[in-house]
Amino acid sequence: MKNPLWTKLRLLALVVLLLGASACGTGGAGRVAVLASWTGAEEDDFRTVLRAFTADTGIEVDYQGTRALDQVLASDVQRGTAPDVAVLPNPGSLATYARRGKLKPLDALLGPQPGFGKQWLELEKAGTGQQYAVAVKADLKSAIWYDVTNLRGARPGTWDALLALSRQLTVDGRTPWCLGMGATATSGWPGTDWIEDILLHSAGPDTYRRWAAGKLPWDSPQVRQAWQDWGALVAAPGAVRDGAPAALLTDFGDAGRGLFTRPAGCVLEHQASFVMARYLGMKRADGSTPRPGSGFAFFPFPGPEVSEVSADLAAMFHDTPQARELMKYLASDEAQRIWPGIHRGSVFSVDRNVGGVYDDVVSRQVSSTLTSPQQRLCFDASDLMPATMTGAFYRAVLEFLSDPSRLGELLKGLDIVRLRVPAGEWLDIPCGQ
Amino acid sequence: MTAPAGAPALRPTRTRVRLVRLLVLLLATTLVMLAVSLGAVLSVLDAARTVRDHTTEAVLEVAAARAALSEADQAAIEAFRTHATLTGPGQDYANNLASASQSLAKVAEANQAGAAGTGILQVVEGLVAAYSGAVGQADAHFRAVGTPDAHLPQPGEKPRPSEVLGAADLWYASRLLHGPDGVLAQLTALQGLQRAELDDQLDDGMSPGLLPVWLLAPAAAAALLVGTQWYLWRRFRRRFNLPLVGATALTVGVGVTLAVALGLQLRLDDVRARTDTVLADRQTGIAVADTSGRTGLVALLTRYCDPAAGCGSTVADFTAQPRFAATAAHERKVAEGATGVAAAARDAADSGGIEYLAPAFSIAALGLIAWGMSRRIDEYRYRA
Repeated sequence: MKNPLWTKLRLLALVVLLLGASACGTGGAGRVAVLASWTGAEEDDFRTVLRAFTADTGIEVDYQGTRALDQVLASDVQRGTAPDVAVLPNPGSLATYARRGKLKPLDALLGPQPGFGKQWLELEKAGTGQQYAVAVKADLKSAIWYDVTNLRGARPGTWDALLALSRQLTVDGRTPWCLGMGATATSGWPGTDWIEDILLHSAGPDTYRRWAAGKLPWDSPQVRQAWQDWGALVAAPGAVRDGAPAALLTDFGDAGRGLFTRPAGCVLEHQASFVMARYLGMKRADGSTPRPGSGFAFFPFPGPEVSEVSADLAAMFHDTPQARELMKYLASDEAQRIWPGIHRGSVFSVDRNVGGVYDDVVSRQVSSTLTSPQQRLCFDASDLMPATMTGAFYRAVLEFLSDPSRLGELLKGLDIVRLRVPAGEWLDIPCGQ
Repeated sequence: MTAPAGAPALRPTRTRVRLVRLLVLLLATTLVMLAVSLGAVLSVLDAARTVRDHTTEAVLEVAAARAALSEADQAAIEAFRTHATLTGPGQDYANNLASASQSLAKVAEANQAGAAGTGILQVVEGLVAAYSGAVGQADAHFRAVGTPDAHLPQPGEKPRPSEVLGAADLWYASRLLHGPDGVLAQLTALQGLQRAELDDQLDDGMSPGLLPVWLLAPAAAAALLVGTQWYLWRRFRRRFNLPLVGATALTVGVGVTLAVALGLQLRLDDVRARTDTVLADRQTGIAVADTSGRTGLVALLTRYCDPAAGCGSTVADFTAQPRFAATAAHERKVAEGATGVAAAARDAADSGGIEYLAPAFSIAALGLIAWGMSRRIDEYRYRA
């Protein structure tokens, strides 16, 4: 016999089940947790990329941005609560986590990536033999910037020509170099970029690679010569704006202001491509903003065609369907185009298929250097070195700048640190492939 | 009791049905009153106890850490400007740094700002370590040449490289503290998060505007009880049903309990006001230390820069920044204010047992209602 109450209860249960299924369905394609170092305006830009990903796939992203990325990530990994995807600010961290088996290889997931040159695919392996990362954005470091209204004549193509130009500017009563070493906790790094570039272009990628891997002593003739060359350039009287003490006290982001003063405070600045954003925020005496091409430009670091680069690298810690979708998306032309497209210069992709997004000649030149198949690339050596070595390198730059006569003592000190670092902490990453 | 065999089936009388329905309604209303009053009182007490045990501590200790770090920096600059050879950055610097470290540890324990707060604390931890490292480097360089005052570069004399580096290290340290993304800026953001959380917790309790809503259930129960009393008087010519009179009194008692809970909420608002006063006093102290530290630092730096060229654009910007026009804050005033906040938070969280009164009154009222009504219901059993 049919019991009406029983029928009603079954109907009620069905409704509850349907409502429950519908509620679960609002999670849609699921969620993915992402950790990166970007906060403030950079976080807003990256969130634009992530919103486009959500719009494409329905997958929601839980983004956490922290300036203490290394500490937060190390702590999360240790507790077993690593994010699904983390964007690492240097290849040293990438290689370290890959070697510890914390990262998932991406070769099969991403397949062929026609937009990414083989040199980038090699760099994304960070010496591990497998692809573990996707470069979200990159910077060209081997560049010397100038105000186009202030520098006439041919651009130096060799180190000797650069030295001659610098000396001629001094003779003419102008100050050749804008220099700022200040960078809060990492003061000194702009000087390490100088040493790295000089060594890379004078001794070549193989020597640079051995040095970055801790296999070449700091006191070796090649490395010593790189320091001495830098000293000859910037420690000469009148070579640096306001002198060495001012260079120590000036933030790296402020150093280039002298390019656009009248008369010019300085004529040249060695800096990575992100400096374009800083220049675009500066004013000339007449109130105008320097524009790329008509206002400022760069020439490649003199010497053989090889460039020092840095990159923010997205890596996958958990192999979930959502994380896989995000990695595929970040590697796509569509995603690679978004961030550079927001600024139209000063943020660069390593995907050669997005070159059309840059609408000025300087940005296109940076992009071309980063993506050209003919261009040989090497990661910033101080990003590859163990943290103790990097800290000592920063410190040595500051000490050298205040007193170049102490070079021998400083190089011996650096070698003591090099020999104390356990061999397993060094990375041997291909350079100039 | 069962009806005798062959007798017609017994049906409840209409009066009995009406009385039973009235009883059910009274019990249901009283149960709602129990739930509502318990929820309201516990919500206020929960907020008060969280504020007492965590939030005020988190807010005040962040401010204390900011003040201690500003004073540490001021003390270090002053020590290096005058007598660094024997003392290094000095005992005041060491004491203030230790005090800041203790405050940050307390903030980590009492943090109410969730993952965002924890993230900022991790950044601050790293920056404070870098700060003390930079002061240590400055100490090493100044010790290498002796007291800066004793070796002031004379006109035309080039400063010693070690002195220049010592000054640069002190500058880096100060930038780590005072820079746009420096420790103090991070702590200000953290203080804002903790303070916002304090607002949320206080607003999550019972605001005066909500009292009428909370009183709806006791008012409805009291009205129903009075109505029942009137119905019984009309129907049975009984003067008073004493158990129902008692239940009515207890229902009024629940309303009074809610009003007392509101009083606790008002005391929490006092905690908020006192906290803001302490923060303002702290800010004055921080501004004084900041001004003094900046003045000392600029004086120190200019000794080592080219007199004509200056110290570069970053220092020039730093020198040009407006100074705070502050008067000295009284540490005693700040300390008394912090003690006052703690006392006010303790008072607000001291419930005097009202969280037990509301359910006790409601449960007693339930019993009295059931007792008072069952006597009438029993009089009207069944009819054939």
